[in-house]
Amino acid sequence: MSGMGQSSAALAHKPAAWRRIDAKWVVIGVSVAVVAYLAIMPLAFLLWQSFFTPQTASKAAEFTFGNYAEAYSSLETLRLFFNSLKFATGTAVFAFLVGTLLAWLNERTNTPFKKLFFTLSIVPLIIPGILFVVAWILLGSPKIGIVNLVLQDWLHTDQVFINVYSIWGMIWVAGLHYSPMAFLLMTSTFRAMDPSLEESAMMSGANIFQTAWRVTLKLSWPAIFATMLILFVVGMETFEIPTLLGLPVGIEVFTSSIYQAIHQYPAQIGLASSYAVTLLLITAVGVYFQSRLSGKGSKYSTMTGKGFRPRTIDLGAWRYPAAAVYLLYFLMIVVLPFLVLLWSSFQNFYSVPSMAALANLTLEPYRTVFSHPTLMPALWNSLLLSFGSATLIMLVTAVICWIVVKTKLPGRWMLDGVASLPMVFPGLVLGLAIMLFYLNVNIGIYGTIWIMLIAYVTRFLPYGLRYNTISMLQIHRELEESAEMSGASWGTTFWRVILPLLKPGLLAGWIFIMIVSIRELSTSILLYSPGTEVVSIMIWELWENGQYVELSALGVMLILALFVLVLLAQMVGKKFGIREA
Amino acid sequence: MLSVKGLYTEYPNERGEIVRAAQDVSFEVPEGKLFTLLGPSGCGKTTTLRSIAGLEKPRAGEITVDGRVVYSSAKRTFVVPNKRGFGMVFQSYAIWPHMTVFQNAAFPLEVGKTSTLSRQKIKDRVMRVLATVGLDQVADREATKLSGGQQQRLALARALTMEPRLLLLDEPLSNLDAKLRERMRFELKRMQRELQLTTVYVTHDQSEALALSHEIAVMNEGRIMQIGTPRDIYERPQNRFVADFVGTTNFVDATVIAAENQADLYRVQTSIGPLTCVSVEPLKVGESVVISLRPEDVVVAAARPNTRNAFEAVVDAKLFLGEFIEFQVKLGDTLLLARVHPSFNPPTGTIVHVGMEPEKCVAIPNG
Repeated sequence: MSGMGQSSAALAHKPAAWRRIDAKWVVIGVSVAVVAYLAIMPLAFLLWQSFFTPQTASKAAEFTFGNYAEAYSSLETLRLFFNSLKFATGTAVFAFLVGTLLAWLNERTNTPFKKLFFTLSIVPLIIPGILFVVAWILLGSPKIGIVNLVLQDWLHTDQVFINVYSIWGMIWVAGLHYSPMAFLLMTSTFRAMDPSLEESAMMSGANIFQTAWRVTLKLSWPAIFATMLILFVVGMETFEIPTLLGLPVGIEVFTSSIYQAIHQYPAQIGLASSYAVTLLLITAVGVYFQSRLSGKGSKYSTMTGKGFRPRTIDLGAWRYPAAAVYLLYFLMIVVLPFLVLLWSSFQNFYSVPSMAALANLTLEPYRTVFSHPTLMPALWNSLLLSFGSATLIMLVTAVICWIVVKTKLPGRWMLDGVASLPMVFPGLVLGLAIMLFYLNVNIGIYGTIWIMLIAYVTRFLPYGLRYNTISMLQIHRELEESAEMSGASWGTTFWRVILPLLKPGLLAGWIFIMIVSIRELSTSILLYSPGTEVVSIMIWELWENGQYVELSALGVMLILALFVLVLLAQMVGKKFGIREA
Repeated sequence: MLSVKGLYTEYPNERGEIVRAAQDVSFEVPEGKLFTLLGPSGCGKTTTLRSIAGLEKPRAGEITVDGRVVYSSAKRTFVVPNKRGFGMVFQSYAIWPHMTVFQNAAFPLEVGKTSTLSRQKIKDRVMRVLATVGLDQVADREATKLSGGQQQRLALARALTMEPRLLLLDEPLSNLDAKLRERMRFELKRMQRELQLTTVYVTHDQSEALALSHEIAVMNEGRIMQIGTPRDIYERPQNRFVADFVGTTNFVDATVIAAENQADLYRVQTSIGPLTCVSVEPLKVGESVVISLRPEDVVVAAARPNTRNAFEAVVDAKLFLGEFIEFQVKLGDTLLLARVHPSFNPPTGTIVHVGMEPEKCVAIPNG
């Protein structure tokens, strides 16, 4: 009798349970499908395409190794390879040295102005790469560069002091641009290290150099290599610096060559693809080893006790040179670039600062920009794209994260891997892959804003994943389980418990993706068409047209807007206790 | 041997506020003795230890070791930590994960004044010390492969290889599990007594302090509340903080009625009735004091105990804790905690007799 009762109760329960699992699996299934589609399809298509001849009206595409044969047989490619390697390595070393010195000064010494160091972390966010390059052209071009002109005037010579149109100039600009990244990575390395490891070396009788060499540095090796690798990868991926500085003087690297191959007539898609695949291979290897190294870091962790504030080294009189180094750096990376843009934005024609030019200050460039026919559509597109991609990414990655962090689903690590895959795509390569895919799989979005949305979502998916993972890890399993025990379905639990708890991370990630989307250039450059320009593309076009003063005006306004957004992001971050990832 | 005089330290916290860590801290540690700084977290004990080490620069005061001034605000002397030659064991052990056990222990000999030693001499010395702590068998192992207890012993070995004048231990046992901690207590004590090494030990664990020390300084809010031998500290607390922090105690408010004719004994009036108590400091009639009474000194029995302080009480509640029973007995409106051998086990509500020796009723100044 009682057995009957139990089985009928179980039967009555079954449909409800099924419905519950249903909703869960649908959401999971859709999210997985979206991520897999976004991350894998373009990559697969790019690989596929690189093995075909160009399709023309008269001739269908044929399978060929010709693209690779052409790419790898020419001396040109060898030169390209060495140029890229030289540029990326130089950038990585320079950025690393500058970033590490500053991080060490900041974390371990009593250099004055330490509080200003913090602003460093936001600089790369508020000055987009293209504006940084343009500013440094205005500063360091051999003909019109202010630095050259001023020094020549002072020293009465015709000597060119800095020439950004050279491999060293490219390394200088790129290294400066990426040094805050090195600064952040090395700062977190120094912070993660138990200070008593260094203190115990001091107590053992080691002096500052013995401690730094035998303990601090030896312990940081994995982090140092990882930082160098990631800097190397971004050096490989950077597009605007080698294109604006290298191409005019014939120094080609992979990214600028891909751009050139597409923009010549007829477009050499096959060649561009084979370059892109090669570049992708290099960055993938870099990212792979970088993640291996980061994983290894845990091997180097011993039992750690309470974090005692580390003793800062008293630099004595050396404090002042150290502060000077810092101020000089701040000048190079923020003050000079911004000032030069500001200056030229108040001129009718670009001219070097002088008393005479001071008399010609004008608001004309701003007027021109505001009446520019592209401005309103570009602004609208930028806002739409950044808002849309940020929202979509944060929601989709919330589900992905939940699966990866909270479930025991087999193969979930693969999902994490797939969603992180776009990380290895250089922006230009991703643009190329998406362009090729939707040119061939015609679903009517090529040339519309939708293709750019897809590109943005794909490109910034890993960021959303990272923000959500950090906050998801902080949500204790029992919070969810107690919702379940209270009788909530999976959907209700996710909506009423998980998402609200994720809110700080969601918000911080959302703003971050907004910011990087507004600055995005290297992916958009291959995907935009008239009517779907974004702000960064407009800057690019102004540069191509030689409208430097209008570019400066737009640039100044963009920097100010990004500055406000970044401040907002940091306020949110502080309020909810989220660290910038 | 070690002498700390008038030490003041302060540092800014994360919010930039000035935190006063040590306030007028002074003490002396004789040659070969183990001296403990005991106190709750944030009492300034670690800052004091780090000031002795040289990892922290005090604001004022003087620290001398063996007559050598290592810090003095008056003489503007500050010897950097790597020139002080003290051994230190950190709470986190700070074992370098990129070195083997041997390399960790040999490091001090390779970098300091002794760096001129030959490889063989270094090896001999390191192996001798590793043998002392029982790690000679694992000398070539990676340091991260050691267990918690082994890491602790390695940290100690590293501090000992340099044959320091002074050994500084910062909560060395707090990261170990309870069983291991008790065993390491014995080992640490045996080693310190054998080597006759002057040692400053920092802990928040009162039983550790009582078990290991020749002398203890109890600290609170940056100040030393009492310095004394473990027995002094436990049996003759000089103030309410020390009585409360070290061990468990009953506090009973009292007023002095008269001095007894025996030295140090006084008659006081309390909420449980008149009582004879002991006080090191002379007390005046009418002075209000607090009587501290350890639970193990409260005798609970079926018959009236033969002592001057004897009362009737009711068993209010009791806890069986294995080694003893904890009784809460009620004398009038006052509850007293008592520890009694488990063989005496009257039911709750029973009227029992309670007695306490006057020697064990310690009067401490009120406030």
